[in-house]
Amino acid sequence: MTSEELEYDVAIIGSGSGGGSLAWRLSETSTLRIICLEQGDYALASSFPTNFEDWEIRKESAYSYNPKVRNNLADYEVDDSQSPIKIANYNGVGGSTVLFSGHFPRMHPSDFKVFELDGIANDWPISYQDLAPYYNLIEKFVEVSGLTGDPAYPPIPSLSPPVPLGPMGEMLAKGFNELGWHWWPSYSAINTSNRNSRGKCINLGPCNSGCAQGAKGSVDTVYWPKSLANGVELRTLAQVTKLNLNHNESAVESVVYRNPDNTEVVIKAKIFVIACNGIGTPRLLLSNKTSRFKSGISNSSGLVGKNLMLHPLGYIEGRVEKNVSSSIGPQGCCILSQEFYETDKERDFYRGFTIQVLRSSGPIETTLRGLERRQISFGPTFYSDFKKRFNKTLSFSVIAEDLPEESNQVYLKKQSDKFGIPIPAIEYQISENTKRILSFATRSGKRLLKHIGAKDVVAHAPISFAGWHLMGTARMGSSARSSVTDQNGKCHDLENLYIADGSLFVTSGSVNPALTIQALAAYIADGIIKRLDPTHTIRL
Amino acid sequence: VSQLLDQAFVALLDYMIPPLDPQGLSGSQIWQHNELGIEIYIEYSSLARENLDFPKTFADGREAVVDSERFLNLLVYLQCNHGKFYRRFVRKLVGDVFLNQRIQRDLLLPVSPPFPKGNNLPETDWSILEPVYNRRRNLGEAIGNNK
Repeated sequence: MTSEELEYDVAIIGSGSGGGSLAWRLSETSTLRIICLEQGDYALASSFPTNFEDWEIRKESAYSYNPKVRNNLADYEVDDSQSPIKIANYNGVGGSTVLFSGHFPRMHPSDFKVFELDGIANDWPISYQDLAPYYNLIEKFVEVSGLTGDPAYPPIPSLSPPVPLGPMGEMLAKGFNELGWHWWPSYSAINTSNRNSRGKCINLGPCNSGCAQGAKGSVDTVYWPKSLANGVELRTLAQVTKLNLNHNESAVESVVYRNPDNTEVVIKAKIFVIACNGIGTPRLLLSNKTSRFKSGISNSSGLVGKNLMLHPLGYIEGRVEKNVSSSIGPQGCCILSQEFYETDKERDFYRGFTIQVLRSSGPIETTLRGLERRQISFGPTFYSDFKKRFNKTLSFSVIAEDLPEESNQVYLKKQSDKFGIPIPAIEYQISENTKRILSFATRSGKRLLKHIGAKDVVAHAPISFAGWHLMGTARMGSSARSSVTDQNGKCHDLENLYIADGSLFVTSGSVNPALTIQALAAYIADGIIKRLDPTHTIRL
Repeated sequence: VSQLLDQAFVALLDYMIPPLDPQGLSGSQIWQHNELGIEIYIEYSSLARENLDFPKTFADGREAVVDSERFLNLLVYLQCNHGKFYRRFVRKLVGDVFLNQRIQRDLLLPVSPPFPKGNNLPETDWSILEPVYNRRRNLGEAIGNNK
């Protein structure tokens, strides 16, 4: 039953990194009538596990990174049984940033021209230099913490004071220095001082289950208050089910969303933007078929859903004798090392990885992991085993660059989910190149830990529940045959349909993609404004 | 709480979590017999009735003292044959241990939520980055061949 029919200038589907940044940029610089449709709801800071003493128990339920555990009604089913890496996205206002670690580095200039430099994969249709002003813009808006002067990047103009390293970070920093490896304090979407209504980080640790202080710059806390004040309309629990094309199928005429009471609303707009990220975007495109687009809307290239990149992760851990307060501080933000980021012909793989130093777990998780790995035993040695590990564990992840391969893909199953949309399935294998990266990366990580005298050094790769970074499934490019959108994020096949999320990525780099998604979305927003008003002057 | 539990379960908890010091609390004193605690206890009792020799011999007094090997074997048995139950049980017990305020105090654990002040990290002396800057100067270009 259709209950409403409404008309806007721009309709955005998805309120996470892509949709949130795009809505903000549009609303800051224009008077366009903008609506954003979000299938989930607001995450209430008062319900985050970190409000409660038993946060380590609670984080394994409603705010678990595993959608199969948290039972969020807005999460749609994803069949990842054919993938060694399990999907860990979050549906709600702010998208997956609600549960992200706040690690917020830029991609490198080389990431945009992998084919030119290494003769593999593809080049982006835009360069680092095109995106640099938008990186600056987003870093300033989110008030990213860090230090300028990092030799791994072209100059970054300004950052807020960095998150302190703490004794654990300092110990590792000395190790990096002794080995002559690059390292830098993390670029963190984390407040190191009170700002407006958002508190500063108080170093409790568990950013990945929601930040009760609002210190973490998730999209719901940073972008949406501003965008709503600017007049953007955000409709939650709005499940978009259909994209209607015009009579000659050259443009999107309207989208239909369903409310929880099953009433349907038709939204008409001049411009439509899909920002549902690497699985949600192909899910929506592939599930809408027409006589022109028999294999899914805007899929004349056949590449919608293809080239899925997931950033396989490795994890390395060891322990030291000294208490280095390793559980204190924002979980994912301490140090990053990009010593092994780009291709080195001396190695047996292309491209590389970032080392991301992590804070260690709280007492309960430390114990449960220790029991699992036989490092802690019940019985007489229980507490002494615990004391050997708690606040003495050093750990980091290695994020491997995942190169695009068409066989790694999102496709739709015949069965539909609870929303009546076919269930997306993942077909994904870790490539030989990525396996070599992970092997080298875990060996390098072990070398670092052994160098600083750590004991019980262990490494695992790939980590199974680590499918946070979902990229490449509607890539941008200059040719309609080899890409889904052009360099402005506009679908080649349709006049008014844009994409603004991680699915645009041509290559993945080896950094957390949130900042690049947000910068890319702001860049796309400027293109949309310019298109709707050619006299508009872009100010950055 | 231990009065609500049978002797064998008390003995198991006390073996798993011994007191931290002579005046400290043991597992059965720490165990919270809340809704989850009751559920787990009932499931354990049912498993014990059906499958385990040790709790029966312990409960009827035939075996008042059990050596550590017996407890370890029991835990291994539960882990191997009733993994889902074992994980719930262990998770609950470990949770009770580290949420116990006396244990937190005795182990000098850092503050945890919902305490509003949080934890402090000392300010970093960023001269520790000098080698990274110096290395860049020596290399003459950005580290990592970042053209």
